[in-house]
Amino acid sequence: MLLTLSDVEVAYGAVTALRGVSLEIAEGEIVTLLGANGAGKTTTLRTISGLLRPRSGEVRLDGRPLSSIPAHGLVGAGVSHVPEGRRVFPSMSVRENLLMGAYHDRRHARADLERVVALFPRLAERIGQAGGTLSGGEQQMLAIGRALMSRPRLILLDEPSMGLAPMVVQTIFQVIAEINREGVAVLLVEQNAASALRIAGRGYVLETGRVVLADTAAGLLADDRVRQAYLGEDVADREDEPAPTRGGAAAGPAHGTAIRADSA
Amino acid sequence: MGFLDQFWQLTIDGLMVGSLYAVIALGYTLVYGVLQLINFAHSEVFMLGSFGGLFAARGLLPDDGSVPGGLASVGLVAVGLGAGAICGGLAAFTLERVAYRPLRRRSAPRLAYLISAIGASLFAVNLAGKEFGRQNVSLPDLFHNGTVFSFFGADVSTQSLVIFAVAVAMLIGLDRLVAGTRLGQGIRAVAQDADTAVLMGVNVERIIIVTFVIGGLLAGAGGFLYAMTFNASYSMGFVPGVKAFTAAVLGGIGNVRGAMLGGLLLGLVESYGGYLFQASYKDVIAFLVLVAILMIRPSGLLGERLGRAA
Amino acid sequence: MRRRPLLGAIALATAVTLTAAACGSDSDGGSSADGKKTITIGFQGVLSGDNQQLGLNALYGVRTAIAEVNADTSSPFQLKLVESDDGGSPDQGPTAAQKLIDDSKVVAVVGPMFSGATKASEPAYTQAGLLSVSPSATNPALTTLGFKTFYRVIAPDTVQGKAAADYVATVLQAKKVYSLDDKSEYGTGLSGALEPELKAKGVDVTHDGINPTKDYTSEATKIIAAAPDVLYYSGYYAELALLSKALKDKGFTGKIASGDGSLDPQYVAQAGAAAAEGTYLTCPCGDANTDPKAASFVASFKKVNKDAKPGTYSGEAYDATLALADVFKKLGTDVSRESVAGAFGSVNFQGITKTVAFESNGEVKGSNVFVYQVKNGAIAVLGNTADLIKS
Repeated sequence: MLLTLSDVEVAYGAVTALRGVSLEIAEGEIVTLLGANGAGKTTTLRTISGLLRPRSGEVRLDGRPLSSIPAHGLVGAGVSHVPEGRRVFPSMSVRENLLMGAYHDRRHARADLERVVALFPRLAERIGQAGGTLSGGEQQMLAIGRALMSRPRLILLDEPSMGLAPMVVQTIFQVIAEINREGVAVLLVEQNAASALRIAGRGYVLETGRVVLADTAAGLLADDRVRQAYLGEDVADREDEPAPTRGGAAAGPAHGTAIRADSA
Repeated sequence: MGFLDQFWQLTIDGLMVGSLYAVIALGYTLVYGVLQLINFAHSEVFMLGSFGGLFAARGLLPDDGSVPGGLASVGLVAVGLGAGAICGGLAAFTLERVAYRPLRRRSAPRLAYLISAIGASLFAVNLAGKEFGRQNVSLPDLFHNGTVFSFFGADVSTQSLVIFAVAVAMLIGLDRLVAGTRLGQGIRAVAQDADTAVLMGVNVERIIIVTFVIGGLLAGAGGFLYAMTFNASYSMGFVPGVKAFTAAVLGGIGNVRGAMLGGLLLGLVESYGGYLFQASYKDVIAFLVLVAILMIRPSGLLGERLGRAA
Repeated sequence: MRRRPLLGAIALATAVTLTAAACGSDSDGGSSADGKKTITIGFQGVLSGDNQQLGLNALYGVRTAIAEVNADTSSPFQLKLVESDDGGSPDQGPTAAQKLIDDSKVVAVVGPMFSGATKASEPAYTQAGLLSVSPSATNPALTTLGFKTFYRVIAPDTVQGKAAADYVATVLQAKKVYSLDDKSEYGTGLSGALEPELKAKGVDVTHDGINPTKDYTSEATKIIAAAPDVLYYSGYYAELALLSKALKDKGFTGKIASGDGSLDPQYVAQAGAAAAEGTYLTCPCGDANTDPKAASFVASFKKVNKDAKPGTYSGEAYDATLALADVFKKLGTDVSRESVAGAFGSVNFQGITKTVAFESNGEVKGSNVFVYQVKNGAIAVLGNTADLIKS
């Protein structure tokens, strides 16, 4: 296994955010993480990339415990994290932002820069412009491009489609698929569950800090609870009909709160 | 004698003092950039560097009180700058380790840093007073100080030329460092977004300590230059420290080029103001300018970002 | 309100500590081991800060006098000293004075030293009825402010200013003088005495003031632009040193002169020999080191103070202390604040700097003003102004 989380608990002070999360990612696969706001998706990614340390449980990369690697050493170990909200360096130019991706190892920077710019032609046009002046979609491309500059084996993507126009979202997902085809494993956190499940091989559903479902993408797409909560469909309706009201009586009482919160 | 007759002379004086303010201001601005923390003990780093440079240069001077010349002078100035920088760097390193890092480990509130800085500052001042005496200590001439050239009736002395040239060289060097090196990239990344910088593989702890040390090297070398004209004393740090802080705010705290611009501008304003009005009003004029500029541009002349400088 | 007891405890502990510190020197009784009575006097002066050397000069003078009295087997009492530092500043003066006033054993004080600190401290001394004898506060106004227990063993700046003006105009033959003071009580008092006398002699005077600072570059530019024959600085040595440095750096060709506040070897040390060379310094004080009558004082001073040489105000402080001892001797068993303050005005004691005797306003009778000059990196006495002008 490339990455394994076993029974990970994470707390912010007195507030527990993850209550025993276990998940796995193999080389070269796309895994998606679904869940409502506050379910612990971002916390999971931040724990994997070492920004948060688990209170108990273990994160292993290639079977090696991550606690032995400092947070800033993770990118060298092959994990690249595209954080929520893109987080491009606002006062650096596009070029400088991309080079930051190669900060830990500059040997291939020049060649990789050309490769990334070829992947995102829009970035080539804006190469000298400050990161903060780009549009949301361009910033997302920049953030992903920056992550690619580190030649990752695993890329963590946190809400890459958030706040973007549908056209741009499409491009982003195409790029993710393309990156994966080159052999990079992807852990994808997405609000847009339909698109995520379309490109993912497997997925996990998080609720209030626990994994409540784990299945193949096809299995999740077929699951009633997932369809209702994350794909916005009434269970009784067929796929081609527009989704009417959400979270009716069909929602199981055990999951009701989380599901309603998410679809609101 | 009117102001216009003396304009160029005052400009030269102002640039000389202003370049020193700028060198010290960089320490404030760099640390603010990466930590959003005003390092109020920076003035003492400057003071300790000043003594380090002064004693090193004085130790190598001939005993007979003669003024050296030629290569000996160049060597002595270089030794003084080097020793000042090293002492300043060491002081800044120690300061960060002792006064700030333990607080950072405990995620202490902002106010705790301020109190820690004041404590460190008082300690350093009194230690220096005890070790070096509470008198002003002067640096004997390291070279023959005369007029190098004149223009528009203003004389440029060897000393002011040396101070200005070295200070400007340091400013340019730092600017290049921040804009064009991997270290500078790391510093700017931490300043703009520390969490994301970690994700890029930037060792934030290392960048913080290096930032303190760079600020200390500059302040220490600046302290040596300052002692050439203004003598050194245990209490010397406070006023230039406040001025340099002002310069940093004036230019936009966190902004490297802003600090440089702010320092030079403050030096000029003081010089002109000190001549036009009573010299004692110099500080008042300097701070009035600060208030006026901040009323129009609250984030300083060049804005607040460390990265924007490059 | 969980924190109340802790806060209270801290406040209490602080209060106790402060009280203990304030009364720290209160422990021993009224008589020493050999049965002699112990009389305690205070010293208030500048024992820290930029101009600390002047304070040390005076303090060492006091210590020398005390050591002599205590070594004298015929003396009916032993002297004990309590020191109080006012940093030379008016702000700290009242606190420093209060420390001595609160110590009930202190019957008289040598000090304060600087004019500003003196002006700020004297109201407290007057109110407490505690005698204070300044070795060095020369501001002319000090004896006109109703300070009932204030005396000084040095001539006021009216005397020094007038003599300095005569010297600058007659001997240095200045046509144009730039008079710069440090805006302190002392500095303005001296420049205020100097300037009218210069004008009376037909000299063109430019007045300027600058608070103590480190950066005298623009002031130097201003002075050079005015092109005076003589710059007279009324202030202290730490600042004159920096000013001289700045003036030399800019190639000032006129002469530099200053008063007693700058008369200290530290001036030369801090300005650098080259920048200080040739500077004239006036002082209503003689130089004990070169005065044959003071030879035994110099020897005893060196013995008491680890080979330090007497400096400016050392002799005055020594004389003030011995004059006090003289009064104590005459008072016999009745030594109290009240009796000392009452008797001191009529003292007549032959000191090494002058005969210590006072006018009714507390001003010392008769005084000479001397001129010194920095020559080859050392301060040398040129002589008494009256003699220098005549010759």
